[in-house]
Amino acid sequence: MWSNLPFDVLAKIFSFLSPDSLARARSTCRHWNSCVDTYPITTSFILLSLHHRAWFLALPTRNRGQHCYVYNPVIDNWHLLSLDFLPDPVRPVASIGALILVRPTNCTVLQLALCNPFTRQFRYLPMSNISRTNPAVGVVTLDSVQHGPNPNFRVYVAGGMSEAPRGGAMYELKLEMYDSTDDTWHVVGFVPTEFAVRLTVWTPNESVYSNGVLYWMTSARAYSVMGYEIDGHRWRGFGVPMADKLEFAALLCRNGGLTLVGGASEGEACIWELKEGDRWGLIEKVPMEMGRKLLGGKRSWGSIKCVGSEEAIYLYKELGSGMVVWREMEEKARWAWFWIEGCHSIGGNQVPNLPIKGVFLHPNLFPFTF
Amino acid sequence: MLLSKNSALESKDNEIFEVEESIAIQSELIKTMTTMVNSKAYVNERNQMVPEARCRKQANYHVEQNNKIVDEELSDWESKFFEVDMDDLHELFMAANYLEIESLLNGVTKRVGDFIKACKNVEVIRQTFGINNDFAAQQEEEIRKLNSWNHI
Repeated sequence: MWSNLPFDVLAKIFSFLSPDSLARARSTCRHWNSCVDTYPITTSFILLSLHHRAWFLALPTRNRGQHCYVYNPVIDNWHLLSLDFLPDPVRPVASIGALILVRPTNCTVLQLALCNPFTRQFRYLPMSNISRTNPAVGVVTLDSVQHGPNPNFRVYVAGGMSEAPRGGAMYELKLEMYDSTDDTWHVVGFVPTEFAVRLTVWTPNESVYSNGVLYWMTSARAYSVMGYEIDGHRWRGFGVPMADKLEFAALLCRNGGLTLVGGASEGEACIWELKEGDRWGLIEKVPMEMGRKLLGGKRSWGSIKCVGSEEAIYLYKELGSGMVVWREMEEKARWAWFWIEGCHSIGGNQVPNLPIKGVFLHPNLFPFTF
Repeated sequence: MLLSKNSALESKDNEIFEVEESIAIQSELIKTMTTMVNSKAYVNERNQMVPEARCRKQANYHVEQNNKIVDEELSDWESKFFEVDMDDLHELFMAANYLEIESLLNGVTKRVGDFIKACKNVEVIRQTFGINNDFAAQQEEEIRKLNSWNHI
């Protein structure tokens, strides 16, 4: 009776389920399992339902490749997720719906791959036309989330060093773009030398896309931002508040706008939003007690990291240190602060207090077929 | 043409229901058939009287409620409406699917989803829905590995 409902109806039921409920449902019988594997579950409910908040994936920065830890914000629970399906240890670059764009760490030349830790799939992207080391990477998701868990996307690679014509290395000025719709790399523009140098020497991998512009921020003091306006092929740079006082700083996208989170030693951690004319407006401060709890007795914000999804901002340190979260409530337009306990044990087993890199994703059990 | 704007629907077990036309066309299937057959539609499926009456009641209610914004009343009524046992739920489900009544189908699928969510593990889901484990040993092992993160 229930075990042979038609796939389209079953998929509709499944679209209401959280990833953990779905994982249980698919394990009941072959028909329900096939449905998850073959019938795409439309995610039109995702943005509307609390049950589909993005999960926080914590990837250990040492001893990579064995496990990662994932926080489920709906039931306030941590899971241990095996990464033994990865052929090489990787570092996360960006999340794309249910997938994470990663780069293998054992390779000096840039190589990128996609992975879904819930379906245990891994796939290399083709190599870019120009071989380069240490470039900045930016990702733009093309379809809205409503189109499904694996939207089309573009990857932009700027800066880095490539082999010079007569030997030696030079800063690479060509801007390349990968388009998932045709699985190909294209040279789409140029990077002015000063930006190419900064993107190579001072930039972590993350970028933020907002309103047609890809932004990168330098990875250390004095912080500054670089922006590439994609349609107009224009580069620009601008500063951030307290640029030389901030001990940590992170760019993210909140409500579609460019947002900066940063902490300075004497004061609190603050959140700014980019306004007209590349000016920053202060919108929120991290509550003092929570900030202190996260710092755990230390005075410096230097070890703090930050990552954001459309509906939440997480400040974190190590796996066990707990997290300070600012997130959108069910009644929209209201954001509130929460403390989340760190991961100390899973299923009765103790978990080491590892340094981590966090990334958000919307878990999806439907296999991707790029 | 007709004296009233009512449609007469006949279910497979020969029960005839008179339903206001605006309600009858909540069902996409009936809507299509009435444009073909004018005022009578023949419901030709395993629809017993009970689901038919419920379908009609619910469609009726929705039309009335369109004028008022009484969300709480509606969701209260809805939760009572769907508080049926699994067999009845299945009948409602098949009826809503066959008659293509979107609002009813949404309500039922959500209710079924709630049932699944309430099940703490795979075995409970199987018992609740009367599902047999028909996996081969190797496939079961693959599934277990895929879900090893979900140990609760």
